[in-house]
Amino acid sequence: MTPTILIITNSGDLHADLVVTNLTEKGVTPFRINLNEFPRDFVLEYASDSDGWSATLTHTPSVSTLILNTVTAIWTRKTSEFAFPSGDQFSTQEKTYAKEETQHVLNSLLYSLDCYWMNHPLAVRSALWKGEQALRATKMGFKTPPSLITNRPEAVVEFKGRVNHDIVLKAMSTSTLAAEKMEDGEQVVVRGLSTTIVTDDMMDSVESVQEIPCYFQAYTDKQFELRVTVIGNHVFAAKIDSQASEKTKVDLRDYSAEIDYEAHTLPPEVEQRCREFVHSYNLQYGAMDIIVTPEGEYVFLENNPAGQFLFVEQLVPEFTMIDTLANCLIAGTP
Amino acid sequence: MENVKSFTFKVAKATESTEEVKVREGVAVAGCSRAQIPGTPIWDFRYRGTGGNTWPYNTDDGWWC
Repeated sequence: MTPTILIITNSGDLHADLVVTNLTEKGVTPFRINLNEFPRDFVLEYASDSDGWSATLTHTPSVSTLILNTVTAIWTRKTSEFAFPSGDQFSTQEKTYAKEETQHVLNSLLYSLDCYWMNHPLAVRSALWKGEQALRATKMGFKTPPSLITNRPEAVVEFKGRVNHDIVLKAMSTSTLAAEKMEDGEQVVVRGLSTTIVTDDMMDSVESVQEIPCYFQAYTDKQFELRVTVIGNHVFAAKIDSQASEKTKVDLRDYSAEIDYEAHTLPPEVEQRCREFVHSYNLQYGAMDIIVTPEGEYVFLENNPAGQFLFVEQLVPEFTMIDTLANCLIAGTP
Repeated sequence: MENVKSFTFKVAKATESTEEVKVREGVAVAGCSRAQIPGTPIWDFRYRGTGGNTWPYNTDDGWWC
């Protein structure tokens, strides 16, 4: 059967650009929906009755049409704001309704498809919650850092004393602290929150924990860190020498640092645990962050079901993640 | 601390750097990066959020829909 692949993302997604190129070189031209052009640049017709349903989606600029019930694989990469022909002139209520209605239409359409999903949005949604991730990881045999989620200031003081080590503060939902949703000039914090060691000076403000629940972890000493990317059944573990630069010692997400990335061979049981962790949510893709301690223990931090992988492949070229992902989409199997 | 009440924002303001940070040469916008994107066409996509703010959109954060 000829594969019909649907990619849903936005027009600025370099990951999708490269996977599209790879698929095209293999003779498979995917249909791509850039949500920042949807529904403005598409014509949709979805009809159903007691005999079943049919739907077509035409990208008007390229005049290419997708018959939706022929789709064999979907890659849901990234989302975006929608675009409407007269969106700039919508009232606030129209704009709000337009977004909600379009999302509902899109979900109705896509959730009707019985095909290979990387990843199904419902699986992504169930896999996002970091508190639950840590519990699941522990049950599956990973070590996890002692953690505290609380809005009780005294609990933070007690936790810091109990772990007898540095503690870090993390944002659970978004490290940008919602800056991207603010009007220009409204941001009080522009660059968000890195994983931050809580100093004694910061503890002077601990009463303010009662305003919004906070997520604390015992700081885990590191030998190095791993970005483990699971694609179908394939596992790519990149060793990140985060301790080689002051910029990346506590939080490796400073991509200006010239630290080394290289392929790392996981112990077989850890590799299988990573695969099973991602699959336990019915995900076909996950990007996991793991610490390896000076004692050689593997400590789970989090899994990103919609995480980035291109930066890893660029720094560890033998990781053929683009090709692997494309092959999974073509085969419609892990 | 001016304008912020919560511990998270107090810590973020206390540690926020105004120094411009650029991702290293040859590396795509990566997970949760707060770095600025080099201004070549291939890297120059900036998501324009609902509030009109520009921000690198393709990070590890968030869900598909």
